[in-house]
Amino acid sequence: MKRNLGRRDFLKLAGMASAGVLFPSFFRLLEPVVPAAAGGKNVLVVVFDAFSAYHISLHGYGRKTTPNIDKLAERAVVYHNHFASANFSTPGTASLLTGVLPWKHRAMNLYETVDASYLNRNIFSAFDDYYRIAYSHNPLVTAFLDQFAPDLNDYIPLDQLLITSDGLVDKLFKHDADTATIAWSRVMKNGETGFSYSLLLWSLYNEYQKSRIGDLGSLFPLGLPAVRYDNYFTLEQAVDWLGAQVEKIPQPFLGYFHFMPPHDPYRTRQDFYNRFLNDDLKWIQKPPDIFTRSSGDMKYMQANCKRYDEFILYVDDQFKKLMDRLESSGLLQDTWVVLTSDHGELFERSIVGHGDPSLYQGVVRVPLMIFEPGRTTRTDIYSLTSAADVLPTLLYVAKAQNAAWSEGVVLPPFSKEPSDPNRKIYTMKLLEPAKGAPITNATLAQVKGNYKLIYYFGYKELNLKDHVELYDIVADPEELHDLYPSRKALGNQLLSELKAKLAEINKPYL
Amino acid sequence: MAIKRYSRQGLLTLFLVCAFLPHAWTLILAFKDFSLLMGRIGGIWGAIGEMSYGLVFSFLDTLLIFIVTALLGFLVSVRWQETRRISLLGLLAGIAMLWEIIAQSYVVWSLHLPGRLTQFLAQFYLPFGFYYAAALLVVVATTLIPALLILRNEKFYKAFQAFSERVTLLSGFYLFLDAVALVVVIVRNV
Ligand SMILES: [Zn+2]
Repeated sequence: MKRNLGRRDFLKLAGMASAGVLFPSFFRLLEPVVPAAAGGKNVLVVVFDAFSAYHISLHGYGRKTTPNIDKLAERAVVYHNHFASANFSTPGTASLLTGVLPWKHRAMNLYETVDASYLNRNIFSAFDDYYRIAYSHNPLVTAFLDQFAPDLNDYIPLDQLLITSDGLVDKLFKHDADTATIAWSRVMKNGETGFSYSLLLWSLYNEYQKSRIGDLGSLFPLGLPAVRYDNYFTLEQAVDWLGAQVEKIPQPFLGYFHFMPPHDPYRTRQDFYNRFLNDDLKWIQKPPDIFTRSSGDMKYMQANCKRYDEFILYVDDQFKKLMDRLESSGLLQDTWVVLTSDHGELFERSIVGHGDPSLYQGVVRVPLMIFEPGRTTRTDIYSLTSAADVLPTLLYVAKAQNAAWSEGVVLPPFSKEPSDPNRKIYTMKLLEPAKGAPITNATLAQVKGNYKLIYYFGYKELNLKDHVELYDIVADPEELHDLYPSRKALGNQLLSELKAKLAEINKPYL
Repeated sequence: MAIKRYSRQGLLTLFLVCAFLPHAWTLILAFKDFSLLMGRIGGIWGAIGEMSYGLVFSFLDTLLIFIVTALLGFLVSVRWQETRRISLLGLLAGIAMLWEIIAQSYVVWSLHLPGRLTQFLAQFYLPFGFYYAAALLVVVATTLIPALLILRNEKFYKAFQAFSERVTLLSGFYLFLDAVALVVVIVRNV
């Protein structure tokens, strides 16, 4: 080490220091992106909300929805039978963040957060020696980021990447933001819904919102992408910001970014609008659902499905843009990138959307792609995988650590152990049990080998009677033929396995 | 003089008349939302909270409607006595609000014009402009006729006055609810 500083060195340092004082942000720009320390590769989790694997061309969908992702996959590990843990954002995202299924993390209702025992058992606490940054467009997910904020170095507020927002209402009623913003949308957001508590105030608000959007409006023929009716955003803004941000922050970093598209409202950009108009996608009309008791209005479902698929084109386009930027900045060489979703979306049996009691493939099968630093070839994994696997896998590949509490496993091809062909994957919709109460009303799905068993129980609408469906998802991926009536022995065997698991889960709450 | 044009009592009456429909509409919609909100994590207290915000905002809505109406009041000739002018303004504001409520109701309850009427009209292939003109005519008629009646017809005027007296009583109750709602909002935010 040099003990005496030469005059020349001193002047150089002094000059740099004063420049640093005067122009701190300029100075930061000069810092090169420092490659991560040995072993400590960055981790970047990118979640697109309500992104169904069923609608991805890479996974065999009839529409070319993901031309760019299809190409990017040539350098990724692609999981073909990956299951979300639930059918809407709160429980689905909590599993990504905690590595356990909803019956353990207990975030089951809108805006609910995870059980306090996961405050030190989650993706952020597990990467405590990393620089941790997170953002979500989705307020349901923001609830978790609020909860995990002490473990975040950089928690980007929801408003930051919105063009218009309820930020003022959020701030004014900060201790009661959830209820206040609901009331605010009911009072003011006539422009979106066509009605409002307000008779006059809303029109002033509407004009103000329009003035904020300005020219962007013409780029989005169905209106700007939005959360909470009219908190508008663009994916371009979010992706540009993310690309710039990860170039600036210290390494190694863990980033969790949760973007709203292709979640409804499905509002794609001009260049993707009507891309699938009058195409020849073969529509499969499916048998009625036990709740809707209808196959659904085909035209209505088709129209929504088309809009959703066009919105996926936008996601595909922007994900490519993000990957290109990571590539050109050199970050991709040092970063594990994960592309996934919290749940899917349905356009069948009179169901459009997600979150109702059904767990058909469209709403529970989601993409999972892992971009390993330096990988140049594609690996396809067909074994069954779960959202709960993401955390343990990342912890293992990035830090060679185990997440002992997790219900997930380290995924192939990264795991040293062969994957279990009899592994059971669970996905679920739990209905409003209190955190400390056993689960008595739910839909549970168990996938094992070729078979998916769906078990509905405790529903008032079904007179509290159990209902079971059984599908061979390999021979019948569209779930058109319920095998339960004809293959009772197999169905009941699987059902007893599922009930035993449920009893085990419920035990601590009895 | 502007100040003398309307007395404090007159403006108060106008304010109360203006308060009726925004509050009634807010309460109707908030009750409609109530069960939905009860099912959320906040339960009944959350639903009451939501309704309270609704009422507080409704007070602001009333204030805005009142200010606009009162400003319009300066266009009304002083040739009529004040109580009649206040009645006229209250009536016009009420009609405008009713139209807004009707327009919103179409969405809230997914209303449609009776099928037979639309079928009947459809067979004539009328240009869109016709429907706009027809709508304009209806709006003008529903505004002008009652306005003239208030100014010229003693019977109608008296009937409206009796009606608005009841309305102001109800509005007084709504304003009391606003005060309660404000307390709820404050409690929820400390
Ligand atoms: Zn979601």
